[in-house]
Amino acid sequence: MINIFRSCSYSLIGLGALGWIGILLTTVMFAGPGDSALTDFFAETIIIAERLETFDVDFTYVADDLFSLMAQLNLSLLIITILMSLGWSAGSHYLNIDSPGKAKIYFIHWIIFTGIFITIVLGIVIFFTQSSTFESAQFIGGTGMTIITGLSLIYYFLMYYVGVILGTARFARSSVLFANKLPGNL
Amino acid sequence: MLNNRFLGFIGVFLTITLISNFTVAKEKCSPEYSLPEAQINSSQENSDDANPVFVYFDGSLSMKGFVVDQPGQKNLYVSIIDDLQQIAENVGSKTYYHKFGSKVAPIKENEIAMVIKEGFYTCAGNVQECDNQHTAIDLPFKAAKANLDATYIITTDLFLENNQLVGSTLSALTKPLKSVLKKGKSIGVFGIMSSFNGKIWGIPTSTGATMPYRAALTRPFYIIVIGDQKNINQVRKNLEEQHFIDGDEAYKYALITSSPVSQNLNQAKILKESSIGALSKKDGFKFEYLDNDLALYQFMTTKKRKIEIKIKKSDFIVNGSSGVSSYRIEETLWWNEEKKCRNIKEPWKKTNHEKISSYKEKDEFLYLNAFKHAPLKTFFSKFRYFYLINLYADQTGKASETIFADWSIRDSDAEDFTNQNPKVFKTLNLTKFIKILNSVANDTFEPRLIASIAMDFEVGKK
Repeated sequence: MINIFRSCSYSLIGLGALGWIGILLTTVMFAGPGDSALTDFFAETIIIAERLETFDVDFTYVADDLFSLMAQLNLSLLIITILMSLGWSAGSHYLNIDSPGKAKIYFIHWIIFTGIFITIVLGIVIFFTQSSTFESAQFIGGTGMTIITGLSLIYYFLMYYVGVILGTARFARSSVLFANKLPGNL
Repeated sequence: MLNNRFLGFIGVFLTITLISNFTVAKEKCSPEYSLPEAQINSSQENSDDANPVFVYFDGSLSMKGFVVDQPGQKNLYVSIIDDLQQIAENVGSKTYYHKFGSKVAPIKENEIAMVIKEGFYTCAGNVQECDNQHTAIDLPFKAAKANLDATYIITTDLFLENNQLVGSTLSALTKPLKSVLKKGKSIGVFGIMSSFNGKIWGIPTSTGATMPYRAALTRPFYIIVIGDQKNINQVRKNLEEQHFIDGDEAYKYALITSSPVSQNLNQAKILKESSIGALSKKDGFKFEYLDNDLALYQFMTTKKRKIEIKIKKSDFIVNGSSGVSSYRIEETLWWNEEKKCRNIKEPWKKTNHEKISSYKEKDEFLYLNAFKHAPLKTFFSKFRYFYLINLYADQTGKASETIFADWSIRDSDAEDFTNQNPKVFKTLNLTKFIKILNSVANDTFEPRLIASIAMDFEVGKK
């Protein structure tokens, strides 16, 4: 059990190494739009500017809702990333590795688990940005949608990967891509 | 004591409820807009029955053949001219008769019977005086300009040479017509195929000279009526009832007018809730005419819906007229971030759409394709919208040209056509003449408001 807690701690350290950016971003977004580079980025890149211009809708009309949507999206992704990362880290201790080289077989399990994680991330992004659940999602343009989806996948996968690479049980490291390259005393 | 207090409380409660309900009902849930004034068809407004009628009979030699019976052919000219006196009297109070050819001369009432005799078309004077092969159609048209309240009935074969339809002769024809049409008057052209037994004079040849033709058994003559639409319709009604009731006679009619729009659909309350199609069956749909006659549709719609307003053309186009060839849509779209009427405090914002809707014509209907250029899928469900469309008639139609096309022969084709020895002779430059009338009508035409329609709506998320 101590090993599991240790794994989870390592995993949290790994998650924190990148996760602080996400936490900061989410906090800023919950605070709402202000006179910042992030607001400018949303106004210039994320929103469907041409259509809003046709309807003569000022960005300030949509900024609050859009920031709130993005904050909720990031919070959801942060939670799922942390849960999945910790889940694998804890679960790796229960992998039955009873012969040399068997850990490598569990690579398939890791790949499937990671695939599920990526699918969930993608699903969450689509749910927030393309379903009709959130009205403000209509203000996100095609480019904005691509950027949000791409960045979310890259960022949260990296966060998850760093989390699991550090958190996976030492005897099961061969099942995680490049995890066996870590120093043995970590 | 308690009872009185209780009743007092109930009274106050009911009063407040009633006042608040009244306030809600009177809530203004639309942006500030102004409606263009709907013009009334002035030609239909003139109800002065005391207008004189001037009847002009073409006395040119080519008309003579209409009064000579052709065995086996029905002589409509004689029977119609016989009735024309009575038809003219039905239309106006006093009737004046004239004969025209190269000049106009008045004829007495007791001489009218002569019109259906050969002698009316025969000239007893010298050669110069008897140049009666020419039809100076511009002369009665000029006269029509003099008294714009009168009705003018011109009977002619409309056999017009090319040189009568160019230059100064053309302007002598078009100028008075412009004045007449500008005053809201119309021109009714009745074409009647009748028996013919005589010579047709003045057929142009390739050498520049003219030739006569006498083998025709039938040819059309025309009754041109200039005046109020109601008087023209009266003449039409009388002619049709008395002579064309079977509908088998070769009879054509066209109304050339600068006001082909008979009525404003809002004032006549022609637009109905069903005009918008299946959308009217949806929950929350409401249709009403506002105090300013604006037809207002209120609804909730999905982003996928296509909205079309179906209008029957005969509801606004003058019967028998050349109609409308193009329409203009003036439109404005507003949005408000508050969907609930009572919460609307901020002013409505106007969108920057250049084009939102379009129209198409199919059979007897005009379809207003709302949001054709700005589909509902591009609308944001977050807002409430108010859309105002003013539909105008922008240009008069050209239907009359096609109506008479098969009775017309071009100047350049006249000789070849004559050489084929036709039994049914066509009218020289008839299409050209109708085109000229249409172009004059179009010049004097002013865009006319057909309908003003508003849509107060919300768009669903899907």
